[in-house]
Amino acid sequence: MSAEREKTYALRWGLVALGAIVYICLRFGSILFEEVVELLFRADRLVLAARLSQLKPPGFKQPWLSTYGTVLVVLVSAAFLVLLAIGIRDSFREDPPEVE
Amino acid sequence: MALALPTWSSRTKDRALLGVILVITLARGLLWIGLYPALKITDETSHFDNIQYRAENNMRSPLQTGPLAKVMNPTASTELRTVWKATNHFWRDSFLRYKHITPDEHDLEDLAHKRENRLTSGQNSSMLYPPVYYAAAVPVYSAFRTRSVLVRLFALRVYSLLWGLIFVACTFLAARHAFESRVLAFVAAMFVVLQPMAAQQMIAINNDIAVAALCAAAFVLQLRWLRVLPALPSPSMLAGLGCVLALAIQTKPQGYGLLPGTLLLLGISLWKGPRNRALVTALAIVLAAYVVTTAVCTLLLDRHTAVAAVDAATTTVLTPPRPPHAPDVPLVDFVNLLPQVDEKFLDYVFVTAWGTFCWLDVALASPWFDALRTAAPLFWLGLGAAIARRLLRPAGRFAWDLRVGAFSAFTACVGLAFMVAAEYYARETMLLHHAIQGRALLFVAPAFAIVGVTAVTSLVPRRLHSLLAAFLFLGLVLLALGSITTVVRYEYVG
Repeated sequence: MSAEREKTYALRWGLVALGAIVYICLRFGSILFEEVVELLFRADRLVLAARLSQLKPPGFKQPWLSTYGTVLVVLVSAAFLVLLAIGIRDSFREDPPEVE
Repeated sequence: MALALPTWSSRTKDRALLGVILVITLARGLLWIGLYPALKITDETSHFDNIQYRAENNMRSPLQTGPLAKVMNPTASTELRTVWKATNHFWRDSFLRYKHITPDEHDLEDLAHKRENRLTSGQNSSMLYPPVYYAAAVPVYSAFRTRSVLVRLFALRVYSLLWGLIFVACTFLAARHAFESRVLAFVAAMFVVLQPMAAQQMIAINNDIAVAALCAAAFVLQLRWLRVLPALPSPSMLAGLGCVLALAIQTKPQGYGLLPGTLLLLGISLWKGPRNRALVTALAIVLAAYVVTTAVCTLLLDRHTAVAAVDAATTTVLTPPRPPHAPDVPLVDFVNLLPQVDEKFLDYVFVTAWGTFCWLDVALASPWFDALRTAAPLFWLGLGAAIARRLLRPAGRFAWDLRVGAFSAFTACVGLAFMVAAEYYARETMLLHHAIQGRALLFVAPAFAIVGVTAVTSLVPRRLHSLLAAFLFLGLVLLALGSITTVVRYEYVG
């Protein structure tokens, strides 16, 4: 098999594998969406905030919990966007030769 | 082909990336700590009781005859029993409406001022464990001694998170040995940050995370040794390895799981390297560091009096501590268990490794497990692709280091064998089935992370590695958010 043809095959099957990972992410996303919607319907926001605060020391009551959550969401979102940008940039680059 | 050694500029970038990873770990840890109600993670009562005994009596608790309570020691301190009662009472609709403070919190604050409310017999299942995690927790407990027991409980969770930071940092360093790409190393580290059970254990009052952190540190040192084979590493590194291995074993028996890797490295040095005085010195250094650290831990951290603190007249002190009436079982016989490793057992390990929370009373919803099972063939397929590509093209350029990948696979297999051996021991001595949960594999999580990322990235050409890493990261984040909703719904909403 020629090197060019091999590269094409690798890319094609690589995209299939990538598609499978993206499918798993979408599946996770849809499950999470259902659970969050159900949670929001079942819980009153103020009641939940009160429940989350009871029997905890001050640093782990509201609004601290929301603060930690916000920081985490901002950080992981930024990390994902950076990774995605690097990923898109790299996917348009030519692979180095397989054998030195 | 071994990966190139890091330069100054690459080290600076690695440090910056490690900083980002640790900040994410800290934010994730603080959120998880606050989301779990007090004492609502498996065995927290027992581990806290053990720390409390050590802090209040300045020694370990002597083992008395009689069965040890599995959940709550009936002779635990008044304040621990009070907060246990309160935390079980406040659940879902039993919480007070729109109030952020309960009267119980004031009562617990008052209880903490009198020493008698903090005294315990220390008779709990955790007392059978070695001392490192508990002894190192004593200063944290003591710093908040007269504050409410709630403050001490959550401070000890933060203390566990510090072990978690070491664990994550070591995983990143190990992954940097394995992967040329920083992005892949980042995703491997994020696996141990966001994997649901690792995330829970990282903030629980539990020695699991301490042994995992020490095993991860030992694993990094082993990989550094692996990189210089057949030469020997520096004496300080060898001493560090012996010391860290001893500390891991003095934290939880899982520490023994890193010994085969060390013996393998010694064996390779013996086989491939020059058999001279340097080799004998290296062996002596590792052994001396191991023996000295073990002796220090045993003599300083594990001492106790010959008289039990509570009800001394009617009890007998057993030393050294071991499970009462446990027969001697040769662990090598665990191969007898292998034919019994059926689908039910494997499924139990899978479920408890990925998402069984609190006191094992709530798990991720079944669609999560179905999706994870859908993803599993990708791992096996990738592993096959990684091996096949290495065999077909031995001189090829790869994104992962062969030695590190193979050593990680070896360590992961040893971890699995160790878990099966522990299950065998539980069946033989306590007649318990499914006694060992999948989270017991946490101590080899860095090895699993490296093997997993290697496998999945072997499915795609190099130009797609970063894109793949981005989606792997996204999957982990979604899974982590799923574990949050599961716990919040179970504990607070119903």
